[in-house]
Amino acid sequence: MIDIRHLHFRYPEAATDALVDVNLKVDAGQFALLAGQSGSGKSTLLRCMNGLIPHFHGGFFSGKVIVDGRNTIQTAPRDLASSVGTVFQDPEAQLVTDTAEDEMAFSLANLGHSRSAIPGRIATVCAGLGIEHLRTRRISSLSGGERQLVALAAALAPGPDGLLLDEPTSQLDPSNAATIIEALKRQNRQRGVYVVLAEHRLERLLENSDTLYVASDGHISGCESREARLALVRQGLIPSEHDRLALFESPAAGDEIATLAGVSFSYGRHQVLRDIDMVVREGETIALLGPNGSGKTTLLKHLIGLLRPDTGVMVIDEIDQVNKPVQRIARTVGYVPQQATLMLHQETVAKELLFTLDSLGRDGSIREEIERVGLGGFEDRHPLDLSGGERQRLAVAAVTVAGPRLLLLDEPTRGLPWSMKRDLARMLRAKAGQGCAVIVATHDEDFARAFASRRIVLSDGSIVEDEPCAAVNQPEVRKNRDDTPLLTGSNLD
Amino acid sequence: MMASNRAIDPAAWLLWFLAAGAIPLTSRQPLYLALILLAVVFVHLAFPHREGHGRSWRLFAYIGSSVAVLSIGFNVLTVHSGDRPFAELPGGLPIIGGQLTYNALVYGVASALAISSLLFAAATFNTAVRHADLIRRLPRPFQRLGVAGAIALNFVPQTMQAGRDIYDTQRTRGRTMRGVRDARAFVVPLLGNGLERAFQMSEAMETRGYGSRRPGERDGQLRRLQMPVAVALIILALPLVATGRLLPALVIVMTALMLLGGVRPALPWRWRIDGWSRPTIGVAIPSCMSLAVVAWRTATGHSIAYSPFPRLVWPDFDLVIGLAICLLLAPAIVAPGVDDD
Repeated sequence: MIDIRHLHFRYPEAATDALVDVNLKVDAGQFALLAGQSGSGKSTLLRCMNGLIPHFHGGFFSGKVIVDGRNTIQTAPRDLASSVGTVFQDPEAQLVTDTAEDEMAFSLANLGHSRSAIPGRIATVCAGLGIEHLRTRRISSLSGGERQLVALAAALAPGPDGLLLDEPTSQLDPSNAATIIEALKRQNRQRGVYVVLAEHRLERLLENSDTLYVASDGHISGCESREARLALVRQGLIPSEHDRLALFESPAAGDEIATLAGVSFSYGRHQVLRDIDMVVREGETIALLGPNGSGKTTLLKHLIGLLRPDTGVMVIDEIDQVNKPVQRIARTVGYVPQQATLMLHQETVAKELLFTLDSLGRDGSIREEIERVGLGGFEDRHPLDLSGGERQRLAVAAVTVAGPRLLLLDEPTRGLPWSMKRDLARMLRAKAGQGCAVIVATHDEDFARAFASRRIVLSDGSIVEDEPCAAVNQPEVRKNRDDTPLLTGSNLD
Repeated sequence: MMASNRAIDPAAWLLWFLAAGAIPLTSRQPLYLALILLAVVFVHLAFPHREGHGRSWRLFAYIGSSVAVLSIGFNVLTVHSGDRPFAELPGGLPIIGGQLTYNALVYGVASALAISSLLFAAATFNTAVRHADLIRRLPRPFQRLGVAGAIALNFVPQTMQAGRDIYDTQRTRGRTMRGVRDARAFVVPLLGNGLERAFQMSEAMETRGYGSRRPGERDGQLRRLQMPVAVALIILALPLVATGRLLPALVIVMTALMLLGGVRPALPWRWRIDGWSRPTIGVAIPSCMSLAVVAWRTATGHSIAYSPFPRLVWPDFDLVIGLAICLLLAPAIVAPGVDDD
């Protein structure tokens, strides 16, 4: 179905090849996993498979990519759309219309299906994915997971032989991610659709895949399943047993930095936070867990002052902050939002840190902070020239450079491979060692284990668990909790 | 009968909007205008509103009332003719000096009613009809333009959200956004984010076959001529615009756009074959009747025109036209119900 021979590709103005002598074959009914660090060539390879390279992205291309018997050099990606469907990372950026069924119809209409045939195709795809209930829903009313299911349905609507997916679950919580992967598995097994899936959260996908391809500096190597896990651990792509068992003991918690008492908040009629009581102390590293919509981001936005509680008290650094301006709270509290790259706007990495210091009227060691996040030598680089993981670390440095006493991070590990998550965990632990309290909203249990001394679980706006991680990491507790799928549901079958 | 906003086809809403706008666009008869305004507000109140549309209605209401007050004030202060003076400003005052008349006041109120009726009718139409549904109704030559419109409509809320996030993020870094110096911290990430999303969207559309060639599709001789002819027409329209002849210019530009839209064959974008539902018929027929009755009565000597100058007289009220205006209540009667979001 896909046959790649001696493929080399280099982006314009790049010094090195993004893909080097790639040879691989994907057969009908195959489920192939594509793993690798950020910037290792996974997305580039997928774009070669659907023809976006070389037609959409310029560059130096040599070798052959044959998809469904057609050479991608001679076939535009739009003309390959009936053979191979593509699903991208961000559901927002790939949906064109305003309802789920129109989204599927869009693909079919583009490919010349007749008006009378379209409703039947939509019904078949919805039934296959089990999303009949979403069919007439407005896109704006769907959750992230549901939107990604619609994007998957739109890719499947024309009945392609294969699917290419570029980190389709990276923006989703574990349960939504599990739904997507389950849908993929069903399509693969029942319809024989071949799947090439690039992912970072690999642990429970391994057993469901036939082949694992590991990308490293543009080289793609195939792994037999027996060796697969070992290869991934070696490259730092999944946590080793050592990482999993690591039990982080935080420094002894110090004085109180933040106290929330009876904090409640509603967006219109929808109550998002209910009577939150919480004390945060110096040196604590807190993982804020819970499904999408449980109130994690809303709670962080309260702590930085972007939202004001309807009721309750919020004391930070011994001052009631409820009516204080954000800029004032920012002198004590640092906040790295979910889309951290939205904050980057300066011409160089160093100037980005200087901007924060200048805004807060603080002094700080820019060079030292840049070194601390592993961006040493990048001081004069443009922030937008950095990879996704590097931009994330820069955003963290741009906040921590001012030395906040309470550091808040919202989903900082989205789209990062395990090795980068581990580095971030180390950095946050180092901050805690200096007396800073850290709160991270995350879906990633492995990351939470790696950095947190305390876990708080939110559900429907209320705190349902608040305990030290040491308690959770007791062997008998972990055994029970590990049965819950983190990403893809190893127990879905 | 219970139905949702969406049960009424956008085409029927368009007819309703035309019917509601006909008299305000052509007349200053205050009684008819007041009746239309009441009908429009009643229709609006009869419908549950989608999230965010309350804000849009409030904005229209704010603009409507502001324009109404301005219109009344402007007419009273600047129009000094009429047979019913009620006060006088010193003649030495520029523009506003002279006698103030009830005639001008009535004209100002009538103008305010006309403008408010139009604005509230537009607000109700905007609330009731989804832009995407309207775009889907575009004629075949405009369908590709419609796709671009649909994408733009999706981008607007995303861009606004990104703007809010960027603004908040820079505040959390201690920055107060004050002037041009701080604009960079807002504009650069907003543009970068917009470009990135546009790029991702075009990749997604490409891989979903947008612009692909249909089996057996060829560029015929006629189709090859469409593009140059369209460009020539647009060039032809430019001098007409420059000399103020807007209507013929508009016709030419529309023709050019239709030709451009027809360069590539139309998509089966309107794949969903919606029949005319009972609520749709229940709105479309009364709207057409309202328009037809007003036209018929006007043609048979029952003028809808009114002027309070030079003598202020009580306006004539034709009961049949009044009843025709009441037909505008049709959406509120046939389809009040829950929204489908």
